[in-house]
Amino acid sequence: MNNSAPAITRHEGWHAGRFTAMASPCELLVAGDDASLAVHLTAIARDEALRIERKFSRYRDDNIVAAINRSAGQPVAIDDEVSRLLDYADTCFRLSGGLFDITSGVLRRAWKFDGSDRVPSPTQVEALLPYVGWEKVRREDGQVIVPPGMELDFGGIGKEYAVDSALRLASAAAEDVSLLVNFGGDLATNGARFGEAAREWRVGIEAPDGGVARLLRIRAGALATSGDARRFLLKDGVRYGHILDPRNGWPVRDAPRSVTVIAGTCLEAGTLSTLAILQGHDAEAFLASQGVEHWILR
Amino acid sequence: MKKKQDVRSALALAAGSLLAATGAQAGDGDWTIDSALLVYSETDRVSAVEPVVSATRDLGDEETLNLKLVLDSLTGPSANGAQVEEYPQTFSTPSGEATYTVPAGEVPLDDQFHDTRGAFSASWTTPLENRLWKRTLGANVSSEFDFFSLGVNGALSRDLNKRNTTLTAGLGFEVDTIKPVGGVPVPFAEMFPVAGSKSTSDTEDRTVTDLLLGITQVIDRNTVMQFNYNLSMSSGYMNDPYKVVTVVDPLDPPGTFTYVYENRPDSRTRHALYWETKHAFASGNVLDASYRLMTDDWGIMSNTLDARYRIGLGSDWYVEPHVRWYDQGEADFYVDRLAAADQPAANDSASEYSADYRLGALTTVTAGARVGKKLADDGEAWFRLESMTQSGDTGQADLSAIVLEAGYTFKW
Repeated sequence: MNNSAPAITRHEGWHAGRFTAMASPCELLVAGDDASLAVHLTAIARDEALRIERKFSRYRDDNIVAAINRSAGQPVAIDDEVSRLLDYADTCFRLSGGLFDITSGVLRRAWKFDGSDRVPSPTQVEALLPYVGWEKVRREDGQVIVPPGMELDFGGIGKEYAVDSALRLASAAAEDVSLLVNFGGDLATNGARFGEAAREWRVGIEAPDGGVARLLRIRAGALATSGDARRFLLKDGVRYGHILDPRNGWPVRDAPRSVTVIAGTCLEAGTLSTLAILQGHDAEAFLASQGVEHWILR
Repeated sequence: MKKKQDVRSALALAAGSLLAATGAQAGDGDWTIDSALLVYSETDRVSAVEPVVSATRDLGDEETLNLKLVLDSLTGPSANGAQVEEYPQTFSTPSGEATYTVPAGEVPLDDQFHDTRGAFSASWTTPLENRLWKRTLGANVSSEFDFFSLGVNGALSRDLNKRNTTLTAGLGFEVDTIKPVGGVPVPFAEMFPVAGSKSTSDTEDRTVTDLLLGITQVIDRNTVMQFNYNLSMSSGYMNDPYKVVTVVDPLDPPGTFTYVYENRPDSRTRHALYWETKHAFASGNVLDASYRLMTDDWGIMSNTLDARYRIGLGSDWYVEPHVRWYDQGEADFYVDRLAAADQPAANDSASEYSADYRLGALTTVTAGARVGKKLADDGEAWFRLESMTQSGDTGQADLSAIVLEAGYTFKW
């Protein structure tokens, strides 16, 4: 966790505040010439990012996620925010016919996507499948009951949620100021008018070789990318991407390397892009049917 | 996959409800410092200057630490218990080293009264294992030149019903040591001569045990209601060592009075019921109304009605009018004067009489307002002005006071 003061830089007509959270470079772009406002809003965005990281990171042993994951089948009381995130995960699970599953993180015990050729054995994967399945998680009256051996992982929605939440808090503190929140490439804007000329934020999408593949103009809405061109295994000429199918524990077949979607909120964009990858070969057809602007890299 | 065209709108709906419902989550890791300076001034009597500093640290995950420091500086005359008479009256100072005379027709006030009190308290609240339980542990210490108090307290609360209901149970225990100036008076000993009016011990003590049971209920999005029951049991030295009772003997020449030190029961059990409702109106204004009923085994019953209404003025300013009405009946052993025939012998601790106006019938009305301005980073500056008018059975009880308070809250 990085608690250092955010770095603010001044540009023509806007300011950028940068900090590190959720193991990603994060930034808040603030339209206008008010540097102190940019400092104030960046602190708000950073505090919210760090708060969500502390609360939902699976790499900590002192948060609610750790408490749930070591509950061994005992009920764990959850607050409203956790409960609403679980509601959202539940919706994703149902909409995707079980493909989007926040209990599938235990499969990482078999899969380490480090660019090597260490593909696990079918028995290794098979042994973990009993511990996957959102439908086995029960919820009642402010409590969640996760069967022994199973785990919840908010990694698939936490960062997108943090982007939307940080944008909302910063926007509330500065009405009518155009803002763009960017946490490691997942970003959202508040749609406020940007200067007299009604300018738009320009966002570059990184190409696999590191260059800027595409330049987007965005004034309202959000953008998220799923998939990671660098996280895969390669064995016998077969590329195993890092998004796993919770039904069989194996990487989704014919999955695109990355999918970028534009939608109203970062959560929607991130979920749609993940769902697209989970469709494998049908990713293009899926996104075309949703009528959202998107880019697929295969 | 379900019908594919449904996915996007269903996600938009789900994301919308997740984000819309997220209240502003308080940032943690900061100290919130509340500071205030209170000036209390009774007309012609005690005035107090009281700086208060309270620091709360949000430790994250609903864990908080609160430290509070209060310094009281009281100066000015205080009623000594004797009644207003048509003749000048002479009293001994608490130390017994001097006397003071009160003119005819005036409330006898001990003008030697000045005191500085320092109080420090700390409390620590932690959510327990599953977060529906919360535990608070606290300790407080208070010191004056003639009084020392040490207390510990603990409370458990449990959220039920999706956190719409909170049950609280608390227990407190306090030990007070009283070391009156000039020694502990012998009950019903006469003020003059000073020799023999004080007992051999120079300190006394008492213990106070408090039990609190409470329920807080969210009624709707804008209304929250609270009911508390408080049982308080004190035992030990309950007298006010500086209060006397006037004894009137028809056989004495006019203008001659005898003053004897008071004596109260050595225990007190109080029951209090408290109800409070807060309601936020659509305008954003907030009404906070409460009622308290207290009864004890000294025969005192009191009612307190309190209401304040916060009115927002623009985005930063607010004004909050406040009214409070307090009414109490007298204690069984309250007298304004004692007839000589009823005067107990010195050291007759089985008899109980006090002329302390605070144990007589009283009605107090307080009215005022607070004006505040919100500052950046959840800070606030405010100013409070209140006037208090009290009336009772005797001239001692009649007083008015002005309270001035300025405060400043900031994050650090």
